[in-house]
Amino acid sequence: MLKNILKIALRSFWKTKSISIINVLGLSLGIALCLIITLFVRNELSYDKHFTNSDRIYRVASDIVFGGNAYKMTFAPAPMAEALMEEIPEVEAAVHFRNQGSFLIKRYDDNIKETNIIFAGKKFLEVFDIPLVQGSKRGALDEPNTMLISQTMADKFFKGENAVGQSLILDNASDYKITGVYEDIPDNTHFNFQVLLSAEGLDEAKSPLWLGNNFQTYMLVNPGTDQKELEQKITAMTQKHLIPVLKQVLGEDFTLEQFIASGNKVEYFLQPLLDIHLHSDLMGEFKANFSSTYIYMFVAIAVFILLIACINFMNLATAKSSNRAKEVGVRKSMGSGRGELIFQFMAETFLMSFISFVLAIFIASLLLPFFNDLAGRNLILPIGEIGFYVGLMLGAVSVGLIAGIYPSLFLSGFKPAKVLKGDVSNGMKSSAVRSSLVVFQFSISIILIFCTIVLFSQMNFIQNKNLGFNKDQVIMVHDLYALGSQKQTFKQEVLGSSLIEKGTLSGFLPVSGTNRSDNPWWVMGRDIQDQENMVSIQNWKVDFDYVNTLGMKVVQGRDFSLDFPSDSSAVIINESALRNFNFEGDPIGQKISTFSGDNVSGLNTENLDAKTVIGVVENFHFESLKENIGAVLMYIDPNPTGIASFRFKAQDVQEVLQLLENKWKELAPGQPFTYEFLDERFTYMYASETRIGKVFAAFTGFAIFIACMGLFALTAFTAEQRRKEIGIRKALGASVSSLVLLLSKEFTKLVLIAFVIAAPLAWWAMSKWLEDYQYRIQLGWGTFLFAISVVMLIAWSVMGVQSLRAASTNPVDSLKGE
Amino acid sequence: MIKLTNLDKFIESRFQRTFILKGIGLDIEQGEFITLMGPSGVGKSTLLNIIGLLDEDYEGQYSFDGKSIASMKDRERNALHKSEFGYIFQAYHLIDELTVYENIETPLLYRNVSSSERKSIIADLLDRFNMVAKKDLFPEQLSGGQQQLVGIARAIAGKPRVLLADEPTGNLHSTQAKEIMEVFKELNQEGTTIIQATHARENADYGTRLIEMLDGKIDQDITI
Repeated sequence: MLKNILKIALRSFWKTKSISIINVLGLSLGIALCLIITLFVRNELSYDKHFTNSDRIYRVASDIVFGGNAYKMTFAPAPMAEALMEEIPEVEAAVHFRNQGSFLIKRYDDNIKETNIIFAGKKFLEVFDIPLVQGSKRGALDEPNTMLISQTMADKFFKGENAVGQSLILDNASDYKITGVYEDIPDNTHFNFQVLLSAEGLDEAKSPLWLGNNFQTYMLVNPGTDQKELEQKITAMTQKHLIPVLKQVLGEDFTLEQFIASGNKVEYFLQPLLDIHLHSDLMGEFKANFSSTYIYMFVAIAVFILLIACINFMNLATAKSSNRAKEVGVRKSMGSGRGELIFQFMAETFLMSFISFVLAIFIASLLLPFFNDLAGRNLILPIGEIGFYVGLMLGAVSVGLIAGIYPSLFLSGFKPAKVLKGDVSNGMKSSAVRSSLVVFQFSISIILIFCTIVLFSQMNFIQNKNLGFNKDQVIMVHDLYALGSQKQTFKQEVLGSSLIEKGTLSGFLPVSGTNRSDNPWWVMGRDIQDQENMVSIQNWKVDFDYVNTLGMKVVQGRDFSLDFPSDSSAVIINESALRNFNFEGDPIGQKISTFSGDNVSGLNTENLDAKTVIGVVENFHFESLKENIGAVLMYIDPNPTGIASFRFKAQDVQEVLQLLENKWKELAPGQPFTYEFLDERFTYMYASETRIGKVFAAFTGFAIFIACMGLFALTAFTAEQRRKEIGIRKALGASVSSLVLLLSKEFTKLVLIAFVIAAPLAWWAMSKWLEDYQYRIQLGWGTFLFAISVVMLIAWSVMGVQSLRAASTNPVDSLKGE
Repeated sequence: MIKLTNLDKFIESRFQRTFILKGIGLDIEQGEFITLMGPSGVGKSTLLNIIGLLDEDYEGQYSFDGKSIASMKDRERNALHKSEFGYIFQAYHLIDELTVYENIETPLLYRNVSSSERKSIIADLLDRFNMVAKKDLFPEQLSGGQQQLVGIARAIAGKPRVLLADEPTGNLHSTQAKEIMEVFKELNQEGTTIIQATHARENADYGTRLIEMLDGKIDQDITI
């Protein structure tokens, strides 16, 4: 019996091969995409799970509101880690990290720039259980100037040698001894450190100051520790340490109640390690994290794609019913029960489903590299895992069930007395079920198209928004310290070229990944005990050409100028700062003060620094457009470091690069030349969104493509089935165009119904997503019109071809039969 | 063997009932060869479908071997259907995707006949109808008469006691038609009860009993 069924299945598949192949390919493509999404989601959900005690590791994050600015950061004070271990019994071990950017590393002569390098506390290996390939875990980072390196780094510098005990030189200055080599940290970890430097040698790490927040702090707690209780203990502990410091800064009559009452807060909360990748988007993340919202989005797309493919399958199977009706009738007349027929049609669907799954594995392996490229991941098909095949089998069975149940119920329900007389009209015209399935497909397509358009418009809006500075045609040369005392020479010599318009030296730039420094200032003479007078503000050290080079707009007062010697104690503020300071009268010429000193040695509350406001610049975006623009003040740094930025003329970029590199090699021989374009850096700030957008668009494209494949086959069938009707109409004098209209009318109606269903859903979903952005586009009807036009256009062109073909046939041919 | 009493079949429309069959009473004995005659639309096919258990939407009594069909359970009725009836259609209705051999095999599969037994039954049938050379051809490669022979072979493969034929020669020219009718006669002589619906007078000559129908009723019942 089964042999008979298989034979029928394969032969009827072959009889309508073009449509069957479309059908199976559509299903395979859908399954392949689902497979990829499943791998992707599985990978995203697996982050940090590989650490032995991953469920007992927490990160201490800060939630600080001070002087009108709010920060949610991964950073905690330097003494936090030590205090946690000493004062809170539940904490088994704690480690803190300090990122000081990239370093130049060399063994003998040639420097290599390493960005994934971090200072780590000595308990690192106790908290994060990373296996060592060489060396001993005990005391690995206890001594200053020791380091642990990854297998990759060891292979880079000590190929075939034992790295432990050897030394590397950092930034041409300090020797670090290697105490161990660890296995490469897996990709699905929320950090990617290649080199761990002992924080013991870092002065900053030993600072007892509870006021600055610069250290990412992690801890391993005892089993069974309650997160809420622990958080309370940590809050109590930090208050104990913080209050005396705040008293010292803000005066003896400081009270916490008053501090909180004036809208300030300094709070620390815990993030379970396993939540970080999907739920944390704070200032100072080690890697761009993902978001659980996007996980839901991807799962939804996977389900949609699979449904669309299954619906194609169902629709075609039922549309093909006229071909199978006779067989059903004959079989029933020979005594086949309905159950046996259902079994037969289900078996056919399962066969198709299994074939599709096998094909899907191939398609997925072909598409995976492209996906990895788009999504910035390193996924592979887990061909070695048994679970993979079990999953595939389960998938094949469930797809078979979803796609097969309705057609087999439908087909097996034919009345033999009817169909054997040639009356299969119940299979001909589009049934209500089939129409609603098509409406469902169209709705999904419209939603997906709408979401994609909104995503891209928002990205485009960000790219083209007036940022308050000009990000185009600016090149940034990094690591100025390598030039030593030649920085100004470099700038001047580069500026001598006719290719370059302007240039500035400053580590502070309005893109992420450059320097930030925050300190409280106030209008001179105001009472600092009244915390409303304190303004938490970005302090940017710049040079005289900064405002000019970046194209910022001075709206009040003037730019820095060499003509005014007093400008060494002048500041330019932005409009947000102007608002926060709340000056009385004209701000230009007013003086503002802060404490002298810095975060390392402690703030000196006795001595004050004062500067004069000489200008106000238009607000410019220096963080993501998801944030409001914060307050910034800029003052002249006599000895600027960090980055040299040059605005070049719109000419051959290669020439500009050549010029800069030559100058660099001349002045800093042997040092790597690293550069970046400002607009590229800016784009990088939205890398994860852009990536998601691209992946989303790709999947949307595929989903629509699969839906179209189904639509194509379906219209082919409807046209085929209405051949006789078309023939009669033509014989009666209908024109081709009126016939095309007749055939398209039904589907057009379905598209419109789909639109009515899809529009509110899509609107709701995208308004939610846009809420994340402080600066965003407005959702307009235009987008909807565009989405429906696209769907309409695709549907019409797919149907048009078929309808035209059906309408152009000679009526004699279609009327002759039987 | 088959007994119909006061059988009605009608279509209910909004204002009236249109009768397709009205007050049919019929007794059929084992071994009869009955011809149902009458113009198109008189209810011949409907009657055949009801007798063959393909249509259950009627009123009145139908009993087979003294057992009422209406009182049977689904499973009994199915078993009866499978073992006692064979069908032959005007348009042959062979399954296009199956070869001659496989078409004949299909009813045997539904009867769970063992593989070796199937082979011998089909071999006998092919032999009987001189189709051994054509067993691997598909229906579309055969002439109408040959297709109908396959249809008959398929219908009798399961050795049914009753053979139902709806216009079996309607699509064939006279020589082929004669051939088919000779086969029917032979089968009848071997003991198979045959009921055929036709409007070709000459076909009736092969039968043992002629029932003429008019407007859903039995007009004449003649034993030849």
